[in-house]
Amino acid sequence: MNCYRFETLISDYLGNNISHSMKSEMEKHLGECPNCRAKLEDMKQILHSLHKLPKLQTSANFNEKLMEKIEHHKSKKKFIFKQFVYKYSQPLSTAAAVIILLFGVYYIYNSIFPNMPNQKISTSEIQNNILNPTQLSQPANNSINNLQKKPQYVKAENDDSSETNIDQRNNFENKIKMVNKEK
Amino acid sequence: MINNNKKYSDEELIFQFQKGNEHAYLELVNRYKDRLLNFIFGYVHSKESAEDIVQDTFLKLYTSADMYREIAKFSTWIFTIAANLAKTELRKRKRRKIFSITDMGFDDKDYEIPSESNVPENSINSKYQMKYILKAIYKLDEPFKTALILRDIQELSYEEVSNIVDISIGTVKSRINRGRLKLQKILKNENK
Repeated sequence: MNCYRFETLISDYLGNNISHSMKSEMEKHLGECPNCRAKLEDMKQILHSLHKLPKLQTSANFNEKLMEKIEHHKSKKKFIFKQFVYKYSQPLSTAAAVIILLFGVYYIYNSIFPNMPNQKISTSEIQNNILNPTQLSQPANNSINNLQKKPQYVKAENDDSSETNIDQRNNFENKIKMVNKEK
Repeated sequence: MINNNKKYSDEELIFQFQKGNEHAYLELVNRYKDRLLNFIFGYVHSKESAEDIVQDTFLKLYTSADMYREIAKFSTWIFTIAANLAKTELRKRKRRKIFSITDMGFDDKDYEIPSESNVPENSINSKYQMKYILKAIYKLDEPFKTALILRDIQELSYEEVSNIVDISIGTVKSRINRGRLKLQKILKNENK
């Protein structure tokens, strides 16, 4: 064993964390090397001093100061919340006023014009009714009459047919005219 | 209310505190305040600064107790918080240039030495006086210093040091050995 190897293992030797064979090898080296022997003794003294270092103690009012810090932290948090509310109170109240106003307008509009729902007729329903006029139900008839007056095509919710385009609309109008002529 | 604190482990106390029991928090403070003070003192070498950092550590414990999970020992967790705060303080000092390596000078006025009134006789009569040892520790590079303080002054196990510093046990052992050799070298030069 050389001195460098001894140095790398010195802590393990002192902590007794090495194998028996390694320990014997190191002790053999210690017997031959006065430098390493001195180094080992020196290290023992240093470790002893480190373990015996006087321990500091916190000041007597440590806990009180800590509690003050905690209280300060809590009040700071409350202050931050208050500051937030103060800072954003104007925009928040404006936004709330706008939302209330919009709801109010919507409510008033609905109460003034209660019978203005969009008439939703599926294109498939119209097609069926046009092709079988004898089976026309009253609402469907009304729908056709309405269409004659003022064509209005609104895509129904359950309508799985493709979007109604202008050509389709013209076709329907022609078919409606033909049905009327047959009548 | 914690009547007989000794029967509760640190982990049980932190869980009690998580449930809102502030007596458990106070018990943890009492258990760790001196240990943490000595640990932080190794970094900042001023009792006042060290005490401030310990207070911040406990404030963090108070505000972030919910972050603690059973996967780690409480001691590991609290030492990690304290070590991080101490490192942050050192970085701040460096930035503000409160002191620098060139300004340090290693005079006693820069370096607060604990009162020797309660120092055991054998340590005063030791070859290496306490203040030289503390100064030598201060001169060590941060990784060696942390490992040495935790192991040789705080007397934590290799495993605990490994968890706090977040390195393998093998690396901890190597750092401690190298740290001790460096400390020995510094002390030898100081004593010349």
